[in-house]
Amino acid sequence: MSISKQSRDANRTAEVSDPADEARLEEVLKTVPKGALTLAGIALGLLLLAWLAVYFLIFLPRGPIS
Amino acid sequence: MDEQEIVKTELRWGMVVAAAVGVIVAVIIVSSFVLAMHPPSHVETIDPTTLSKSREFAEGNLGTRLNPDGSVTVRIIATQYAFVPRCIPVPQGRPVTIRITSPDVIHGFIIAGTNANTMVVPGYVAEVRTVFKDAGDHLMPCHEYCGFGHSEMWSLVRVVAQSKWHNDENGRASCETSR
Amino acid sequence: MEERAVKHRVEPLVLAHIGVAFAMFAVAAVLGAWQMMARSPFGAPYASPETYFASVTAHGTIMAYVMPILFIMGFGYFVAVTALDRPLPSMRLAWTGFWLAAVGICMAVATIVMGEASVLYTFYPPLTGSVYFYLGLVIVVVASWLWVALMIWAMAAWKRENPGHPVPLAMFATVTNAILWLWTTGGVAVELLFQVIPAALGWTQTIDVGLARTLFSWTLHPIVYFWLLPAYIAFYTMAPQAAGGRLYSDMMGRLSFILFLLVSLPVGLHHLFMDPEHGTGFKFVQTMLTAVLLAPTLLTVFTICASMEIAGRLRGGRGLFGWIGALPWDRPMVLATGLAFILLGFGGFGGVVNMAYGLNAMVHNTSWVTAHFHLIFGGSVVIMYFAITYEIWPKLLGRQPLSLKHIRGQLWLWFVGILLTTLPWHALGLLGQPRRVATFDYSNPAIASWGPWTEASVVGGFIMLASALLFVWNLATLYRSSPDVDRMRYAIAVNPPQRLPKALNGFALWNALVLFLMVAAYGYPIGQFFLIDVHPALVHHFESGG
Repeated sequence: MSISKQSRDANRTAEVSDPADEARLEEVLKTVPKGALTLAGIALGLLLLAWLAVYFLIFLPRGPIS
Repeated sequence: MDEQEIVKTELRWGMVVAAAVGVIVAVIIVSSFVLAMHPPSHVETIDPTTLSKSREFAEGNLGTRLNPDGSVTVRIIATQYAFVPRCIPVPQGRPVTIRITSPDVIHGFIIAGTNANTMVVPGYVAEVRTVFKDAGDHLMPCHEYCGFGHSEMWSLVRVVAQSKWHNDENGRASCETSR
Repeated sequence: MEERAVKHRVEPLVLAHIGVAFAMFAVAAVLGAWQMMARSPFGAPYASPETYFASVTAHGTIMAYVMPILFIMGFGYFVAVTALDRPLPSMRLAWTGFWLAAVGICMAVATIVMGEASVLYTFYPPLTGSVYFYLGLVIVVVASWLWVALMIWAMAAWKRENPGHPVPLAMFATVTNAILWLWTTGGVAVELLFQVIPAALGWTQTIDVGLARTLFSWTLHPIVYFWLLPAYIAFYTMAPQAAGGRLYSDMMGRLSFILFLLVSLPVGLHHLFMDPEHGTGFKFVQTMLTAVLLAPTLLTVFTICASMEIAGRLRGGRGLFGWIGALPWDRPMVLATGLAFILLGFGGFGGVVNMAYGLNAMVHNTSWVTAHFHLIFGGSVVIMYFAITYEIWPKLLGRQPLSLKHIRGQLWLWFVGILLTTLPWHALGLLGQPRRVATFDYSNPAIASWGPWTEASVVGGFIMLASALLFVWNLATLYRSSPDVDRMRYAIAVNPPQRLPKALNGFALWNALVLFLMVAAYGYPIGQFFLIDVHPALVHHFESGG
């Protein structure tokens, strides 16, 4: 067994969570990512609105360019 | 939740992202084809070391000139550290083409409050086409670092109402005669 | 023997890189605040065009090149050792890189201080400074290439020892960034070696300015992703862990980093929208490619929000947004991530304006551009550099910090400062304020209206300066507490990958794609200078008076 595999296995034992944690995670994953989708969606929507506002309310009225 | 479900959710979000980016891209494409909104991209080379000998950019030919078709062409030289001429009259509401070049280093200008903007690269004639909607004075600073005198490099663009426009028999206009 | 937080003797190496990076950062921060005063109605002592533009050159060179390169090298070494749990392939090579970088930095900074290199960090030939400035920077870049080699070597060696196993995401992303950097430096390297340095040496009297600008644009966009990717590495592999959650999707993380590698390179022409040496065709093509580049950031925003949502709900957060409040905001990495996302929103908005083809004409070379890159880089990215440093500093010194309050306070100060500095610049940009001006004539009524915005910005600048100095102070003085430090733990995915296709575990395919995209996007724009009849400009040497 190479040293790195030993440490890897040791790391894995340290990281693997117990069954209670896994159960909580499964429970939580039933709702995730509704909140994230909403938050990210709102942020993206605001970004798009702000860009459209700058484009149509400030840029175009300043005149043509080419 | 297995990875397949997670990837499916990520792809759903990816479609929302694609739609949003699609709106932005659509607006850009329609503007450029329908409204002819483009960044100034006229590629024309010129020898920066012999500008004073060129007919178009000789000092006597710089400035504003009304063309037979009613449009206006402005010829400017950008140099360390001034635009020549320093005061530039343009008519309100008519197509204006600005042709500008430099014999020395990189400059650039924006006409404040408008979309007129370009880099001025020695070796090229930059051409900017626009229409000035409102009468009034606009600052025209050099907006690219061109050396220690960069901060002093400003011209003034005077957008003159049609009724007040005046040019001589050759179509030339200057800030003094157009107020 | 007591277990060390970081094995494999890499602490001095990482501390050296990050220490020098932030020492120079502090100097550049002082210069930045001084510059802001100089160009405001307040005025500043010792201000003149000569001192101002030397300062801008120093500030830009340090903040855009020296600080990020050193920080990213140091962080990369840290990740390579802790994520792969093996020593670096060659400590000698790594230290050679550090000392080489140090030599290059000294050369470049010396010439700036002597006033012989006031050409700004963007160089802008035909303005030409001392050859030692450019040579110094070339040496720094070569040093960074040694780092690139070590990152690739480390990953390859680990893969040999762990056949078929997924490379840990933190290292995969670090190597992505290293490869990205290698491609990025191509443009500026060719510009410096074949055009600018021969001109600075007096071997050539003319220079093809269009070609130089185009080569520099090749570097100018992907370099910002080189800066950005370490922040994203923290988002993916450190924030979920700090929040007590899991990374929503490891695979999407890999895809995002790959997308950055592919699409951040062939888009540099959007920095040349206003340039007369390129036509609409390729400017348009690169606009469309830039639009694609929005995707990996927007994907990341969602994936990280989902990861944080897991953490928040595990802590009892309920409802659509309750998980946000439930997050452990007292932890610096969590706080910084939240603040960074807000700054990313503002900065990203500015970027989408800049990249929108014709719309660029409204803002090019005004303070809007200055606002955008200070906000996105100085804001969202540097705040994550702070967070990363706070996270790994205990591992490097073997000591916990005495107070998290000082750390959080410094982060909040930075957040407030960057917003107060950059939001007024957006307004000033729309009013037409040009960039890189040493002093304004505020007695001119048209310019007078810019005064109050500039003054607000100066206040923001000094808040940022206070935060920058507090950061360095925190690093130097806070880490005195108990020597009980855990080893580095990276976030675990909801579904940790067991096996991955080669494409998500290596770069052969992606390098080939990058080559294809670069030829398609830049082939003609660069090649044209050898085909059309160009008239080069005369070289303008600075030492002779500018």
